[in-house]
Amino acid sequence: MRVPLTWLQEFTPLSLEYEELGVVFDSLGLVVASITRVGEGLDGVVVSKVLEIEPIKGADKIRKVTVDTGLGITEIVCGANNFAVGDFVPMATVGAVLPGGFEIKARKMKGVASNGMLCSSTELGLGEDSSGLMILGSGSNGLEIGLPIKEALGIVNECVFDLETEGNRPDALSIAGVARDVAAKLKLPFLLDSLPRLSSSNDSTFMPSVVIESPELCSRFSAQVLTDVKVEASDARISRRLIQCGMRPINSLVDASNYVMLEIGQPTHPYDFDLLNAKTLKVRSAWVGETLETLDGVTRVLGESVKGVTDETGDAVICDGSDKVIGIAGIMGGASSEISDSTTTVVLEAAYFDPMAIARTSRRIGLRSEASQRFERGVDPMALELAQERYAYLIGAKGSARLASPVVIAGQKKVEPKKIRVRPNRVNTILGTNLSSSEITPILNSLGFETLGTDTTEDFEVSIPTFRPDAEREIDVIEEIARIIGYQEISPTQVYSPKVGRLSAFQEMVRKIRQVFVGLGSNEIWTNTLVAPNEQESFGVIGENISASRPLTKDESVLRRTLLLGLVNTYRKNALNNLGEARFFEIGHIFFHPKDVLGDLKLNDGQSEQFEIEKLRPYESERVSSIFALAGDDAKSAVEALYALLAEFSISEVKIVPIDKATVDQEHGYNRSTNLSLTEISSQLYFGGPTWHPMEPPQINSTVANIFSGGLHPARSGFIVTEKNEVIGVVGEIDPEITADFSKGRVGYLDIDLNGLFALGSSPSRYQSISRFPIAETDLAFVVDESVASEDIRKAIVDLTGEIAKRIYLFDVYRDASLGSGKKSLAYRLILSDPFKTLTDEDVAVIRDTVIKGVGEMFKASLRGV
Amino acid sequence: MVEINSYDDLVAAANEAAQRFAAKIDSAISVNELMEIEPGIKGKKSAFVEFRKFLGRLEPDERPSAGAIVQEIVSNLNQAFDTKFQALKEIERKISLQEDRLDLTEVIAGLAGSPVGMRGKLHPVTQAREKLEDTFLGMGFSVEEGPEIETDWFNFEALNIPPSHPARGMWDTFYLDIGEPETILLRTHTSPVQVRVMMTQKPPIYSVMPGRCFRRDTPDARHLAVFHQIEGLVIDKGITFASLAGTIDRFTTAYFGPNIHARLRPAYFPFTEPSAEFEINCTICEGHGCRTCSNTGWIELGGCGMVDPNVFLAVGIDPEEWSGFAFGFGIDRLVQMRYSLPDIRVLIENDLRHSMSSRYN
Repeated sequence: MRVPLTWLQEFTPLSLEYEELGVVFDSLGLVVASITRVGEGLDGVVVSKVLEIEPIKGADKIRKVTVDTGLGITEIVCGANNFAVGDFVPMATVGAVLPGGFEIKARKMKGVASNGMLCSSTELGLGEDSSGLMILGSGSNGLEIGLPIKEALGIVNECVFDLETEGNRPDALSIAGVARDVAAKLKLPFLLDSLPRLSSSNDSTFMPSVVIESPELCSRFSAQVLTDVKVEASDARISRRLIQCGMRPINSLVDASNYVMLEIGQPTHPYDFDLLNAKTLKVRSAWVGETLETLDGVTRVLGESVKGVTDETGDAVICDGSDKVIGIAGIMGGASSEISDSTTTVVLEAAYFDPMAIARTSRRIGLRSEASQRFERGVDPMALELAQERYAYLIGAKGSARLASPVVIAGQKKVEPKKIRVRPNRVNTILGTNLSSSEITPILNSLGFETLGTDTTEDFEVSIPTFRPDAEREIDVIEEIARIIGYQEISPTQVYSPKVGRLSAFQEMVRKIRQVFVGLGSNEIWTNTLVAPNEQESFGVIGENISASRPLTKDESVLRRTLLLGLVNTYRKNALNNLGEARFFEIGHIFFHPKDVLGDLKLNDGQSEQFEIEKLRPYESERVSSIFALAGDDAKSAVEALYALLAEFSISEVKIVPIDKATVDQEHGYNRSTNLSLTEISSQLYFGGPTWHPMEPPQINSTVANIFSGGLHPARSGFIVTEKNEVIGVVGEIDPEITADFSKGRVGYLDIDLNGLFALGSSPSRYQSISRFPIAETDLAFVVDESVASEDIRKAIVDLTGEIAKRIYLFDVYRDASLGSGKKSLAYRLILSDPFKTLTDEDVAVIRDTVIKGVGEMFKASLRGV
Repeated sequence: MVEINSYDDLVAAANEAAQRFAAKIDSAISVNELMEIEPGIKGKKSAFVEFRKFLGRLEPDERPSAGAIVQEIVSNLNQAFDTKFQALKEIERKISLQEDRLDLTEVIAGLAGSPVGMRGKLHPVTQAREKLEDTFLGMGFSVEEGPEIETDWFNFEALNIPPSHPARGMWDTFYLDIGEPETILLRTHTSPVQVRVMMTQKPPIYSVMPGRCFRRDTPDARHLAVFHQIEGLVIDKGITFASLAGTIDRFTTAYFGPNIHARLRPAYFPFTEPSAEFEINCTICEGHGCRTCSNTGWIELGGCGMVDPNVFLAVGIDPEEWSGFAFGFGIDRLVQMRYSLPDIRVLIENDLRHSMSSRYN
């Protein structure tokens, strides 16, 4: 809302400097976006006449111009070339300070003295044209040489504030409304009542008929007729103010309507009365498919619903006695009954339309106007009469029209103000103030809120003015009190939390995870949650897309099912900048379409029924993923990172199952490996239960189990599986095809469900005493088939060794033709310790025999070299 | 060696040996060379052992004097030897250290001067988020999180924004093609986490909610469609607007430093009443006025207000018994301010050339 200061002053006697007034606006929540000062910096700018234009030697951009300034003939160097000898142009004399603070000084350019500056309209703050000088005329239009430019152009000093008004304050979209706030704040009188108006005539020749057919769309509707109108240009003050408020002057009849709207916030619309059938204005709901050409020349289709917009009521339209649509109510009038030069009688419509109805229609047809913005927020239903009388005054007072009818009103006679009980005690409880009711009531009265005391208590009743539809409850009135007192005037107090601030165990884990990855040289990134539709499939990550209904671009229209995509794209981008050798990680959410989840989501036991609605929400999982692309990185780097991560949380109970050996268990959704001699795995893909998630972890449709393994090298990657056979992630290498276009090297990949990891490492471990006896060490190398997983043998050795196994690990892998084809040798080191005695050679020999026999039977393994 | 037959012979021979070895010690230029002399001075077969043996053959009255002379000579020589030994050893150690020289600037410094591969960097937004969390933890707040996909009820309705409410225009929303139209969406703020906390915890509540949010705004230098926010919620008995102002100011000072304060001015949000925007002293000029703050000395940071009674009613908290306030602001915008980023979109580029040089304080 743009507010010219002189207009504001018509409603309240302001004497503040504009800077101080700006601070007052801010403190009222009418935030000043900008201040424009018209006429500032024009002292010392005069009308001059161009007498001669000569080139300057050695310069092709500037010329020497001789002008008559009224006080004498002088020379000026000028860079513009849109003028000719005889033109009248504005000249800033030496010493003038132009808008923006530029001071004019005498100077020399290319040896030519310049005693001033010829100005463009931009330089004078009078327009947007900076392409050349502002041409005032060429002599014949009565301009006087030497006249100050302000006088010559009739420029009135003005200060225009551009205020950002909040969406709940329809009253602040008017000069009067802003003035009411300022007057209340500064304890000044508010002069709305003394605004001149012209009230009803008893002439019934032109009596219009007004009808409300759809009361749900319009509760009050009024019309008044003015005849013998002269359609002319508005007077300078009205035109100037319209322009300063961002509107275009059209003619006196239309301008007065806009002027009233800006002034008091009530939009009105003038129709050519003679073009209306049966002198009738009617409000009704549009018929489906009805059309109207609006004033902007566009044909609008009405009465149709748009996807996603609940069509509770139709579009409100204005029509005449023949039911012909002549305007879209509250938004824009029709071209057919537009005011033209031949208009002699005008009927002005002023109404109260349902804000929701206007908002819906405006959104549906994609048209917003100054009027619709006001109706949407809710205008004052009792301002119709004032708007009509004010319009009549603006047109009629100077004899440009004759008031030919009274204001005819359909609908509610009066809108009763809402009454609210206000408890001063409550005011102080909310604001932290210590106000008495005698301090509160004057504040409310100054805003137009009438107060009625009660006999018994401090409490009182407040009558909410009809121009403040935003104030509906006691709390809204409390805000008004705070606003006028000033937020700055409420002394801050401190509250101290009675709780201890601490991260949850999960949050602590996430922070540690970040540090582990950073310690591994991985750089944290964050990538878009929205990705391109087929991009994930191109990475081999299948599944059902969750799409945004109206994405900004197709490339960002689908929710991610994997963090792999963002990581690889980041890697690619950096590689193209020759920064490809790096590690990256991201911690973030991924999402699963309900179709990819087996069965319905179930609420956890004991969850509030209000979470029922949650079942509609796609499941999401929080994960950490990292790629390893330093020189020399491969799947091993990722496995090492996994172990570093597990070590941070002292987790040992996970195994890695090669992804191509995991077959899908149709019933349970994940995989079991028939190649493994372990007991049957009936794992399910694990979606952890974040603390905030009221759902049981679901099972995922088996056909999309590769959401996790997709995009990975099938023979160099594995699932990370817990002892409970839950898959919590993948580790290995990215399918080389994915990075082939920009990198020839191998790229390691690690991806873990944070909640899965949390479930393993969240409880603190208990102290275990360390044996005082020396450890024993022995090595065993087995020759086995290539298909045997090293980890399975290690686990078997651990089991066979029993309690004295301190650490069992693979320390060497050997492949050689001498071992036989399809065979490999795996060497394990057994570190043994007994808490109660020193292990003898005999003890160790017994263990070796047990392990050799056991592993031999389980894996068809033979001891190497035996 | 001359034959020793008398006291004089002994003294002469000893002196002669002393001079000879002193010269050898003197001229030795390496520890090795010196060690070749050692047996002649300290060895079992050295001349001085012989001299000592000869002492017994002297007259008894000659023995103390001759013994003292030999003893002094041996002692002097040993001392000279040891001094020289230490000196040579030190010289040789220095030479050897010099030969061991490493030009530290030869160490491959990594790309753009950063030890790539040695240690990664946290994303600036994470650095800011952790610091914000820590500040609030220090003020006795818990950190709460929630889902990024929300239902319309949690994101809007429970927050006093019913369907078709004009205020919905304040948030351009990404709805998802799931279920009924416009029921499932990407959260436009972390406020639904507040709703979840209020529904599952009993007051008093002192919490902050950081997280990723989504708005259907075309990205520009100051906006991202996918961004991060942190909100705070305090519900207790006797919480007032004055305590909101005090808490915002205390946080501002704790986070930005003692010279940065906050102030409130009226604003409108459907879920708070009274509502306010909060501004802080410009962190670049500390309130004196500069380009960043358009010479006002103030920068707008976020919104806040007293929790609207309708929000309390939606989550089943009695607004007459409890009162509370909420506040929120963008983390990415904070980072943009902190780094003086001309374009916020740098944050999602994940260009190593930026992330390696980022330092968040």
